[in-house]
This record gives sequence, C-alpha cells and structure tokens, in this order.
Amino acid sequence: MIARRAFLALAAASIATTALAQTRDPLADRFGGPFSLTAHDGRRVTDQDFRGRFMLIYFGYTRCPDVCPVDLFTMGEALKLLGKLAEKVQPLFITVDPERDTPDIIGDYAQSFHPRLLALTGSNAEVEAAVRAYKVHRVKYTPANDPANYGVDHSSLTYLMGPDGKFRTLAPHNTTPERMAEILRPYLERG
Amino acid sequence: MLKYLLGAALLGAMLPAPANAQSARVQVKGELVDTWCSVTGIMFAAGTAHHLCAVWCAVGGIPVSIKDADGNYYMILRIAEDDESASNPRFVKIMSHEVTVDGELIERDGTKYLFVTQVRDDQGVVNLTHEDNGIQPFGN
Repeated sequence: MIARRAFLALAAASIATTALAQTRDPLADRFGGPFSLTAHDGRRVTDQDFRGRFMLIYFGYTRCPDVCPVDLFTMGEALKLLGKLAEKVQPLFITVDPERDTPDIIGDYAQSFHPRLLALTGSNAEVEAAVRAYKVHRVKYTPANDPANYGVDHSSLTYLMGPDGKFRTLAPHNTTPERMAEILRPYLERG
Repeated sequence: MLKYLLGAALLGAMLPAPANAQSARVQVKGELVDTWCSVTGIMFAAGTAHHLCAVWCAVGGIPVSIKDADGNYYMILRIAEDDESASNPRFVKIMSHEVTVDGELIERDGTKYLFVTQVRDDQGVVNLTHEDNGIQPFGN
C-alpha cells in the first residue's frame, strides 16, 4: 500500500514537473506587448482584438527594396501550405515607415502577398510603441542628395504570438515557406 | 518497491517533452556572421572578404549569428543589457570578428538563440579571405 502511494506521489510529481516546465517558457515575455494602430481598412485595432487567435507578425515597409517582399512572400506561401490550419492565424504587417505607408498604400501592398494579411499603420508614436514591444531594429537613413527617397533599416524576424498574446516562436529571414509551415504547424495543432 | 519506483521513473520519461526547452548558460566561440549570406553561402560569406557585406546586413536588420568551428549557428537576440532591439547596432563594430561570448542559450524549433551577457574575448577578423575572394559585394 505504501509502495502504491509512493508510486502515485512520484507520478503526480512527474506530471507537475512537466507542466511547470511547459509554463516556464524563457522566451514568452521577451517579445510582444500592447499596440494600438490603424488597419488598412481604416479600423482602429489593438493587440487585444486578436486574442483567441494566433498572430503572425512582420515589421517592414512598402518601399523596402529587398527583405520585405521576400519575407512577406514566404509568409503568404506558408499560410497557403497550412491549409485550414491557417484559419487560426491572423497575419499582420506592421509598417516601420508610417510617414509614407498610409492605410490605402499598405492595404494594396499587403494583400498582394496574402488576401488576409492585415496591414497596420499609425502615428509615429503608435508605431514606435509596437516596435519597442517587439524589440524591432528601426533606423531611418536619408540620402543627402535625395532626402525624400529615404530608406528604413529594420529587423527581419517573423513573430508567432499565441492566442493569449504571448510569444511562441520566430522565423528568421531566409526561412523557406515549407520550413515556416513546418515551424508553425505544431503550434497551430496544439493551440 | 523498486519496481514501483522504476515504474514512476519510466512514466516520467514517457510523458511528452516540454514544448519549450529551458535556457542554459553557455560559452560560444566563433565568427560573427550575418545569417542571410552565411546560410545561403553567397558573397564568400566569411572573414575579410565578407566584412563590408556583413556590416551592411547587420545594419539592415539581418539576424546576426555566431558560427562556431563545427558550423553551428547561434542567432543572437540580445547583447548585454540592451533590451531595445533584437538586432543590436553594437554588432556592427565587431562583425566578422572571432569572438568568445558568455550567454544564455535557448533552442526553439531547431534554431539556437543566444542572449549574450558579455563578449569575453575579441580576436578581431582572423579569417583572411579577401586575397582569394576580393572585397564583397564589389569583388577585387
């Protein structure tokens, strides 16, 4: 009888240890946080509007000459590969160049990559708050001979946030659509 | 009693592994590279030949990694106490250098993420590849 109790106690401890390990994700609080922005259809949205769904977030800008088109194409193709599972995901494109990326401009741009990709912009302060929450590198550089044609250096990570708004995982630049789908699939199946 | 203890241990081992592995303190030595060029193998992505390109990539937001002697990539998400950016401008000054760093390693979905607490040693650029490969991306 004592041995049986010991067995049950150990089994319970083992389950508890596993559950505890699952809740202590060392990355969970390192990325993400509140944002309040304007969607390309004119709606005001906050991070709270997406609770209960995964958010797949990319920061970039429509005049980006190289990195953004590649990463957004990857995101769009990965979502297609995920089929029905992709319905659990709200893909988001947050501009790092709110000065030029007005709602009408970012909407057309984003939807050329995926019909459900929601593009978000706002005031510089609103974008900066989102940038800081996600620890995004954002530096504007202005050519001396052509100030209007400035560029914005920015991070190239794609963030998966869970239905609770907490960070789940990253996909670095140069991830293929197949690999991104492979990374996302287990999270979407579990969540 | 022993068989029950073994049974409990076996049960613990059979439970699903935690979805998210815990972090570990590590020391990593290798070259600071941009992952775009280095993973794809473009621009002779090593040493002096690639230094200029590596700086551009780091400035432009391409993730910076340490590539160790075994070819493992450790993608850096933070250096020291900087909590502002996952793509820290401090890297720009030491791109292509061979460094030894202390940090916190977290593995997620096949990628090794590193939170660097300190750069313990910096040997500068030791991989002299420019004589054979020119200065990328412009060539000789």
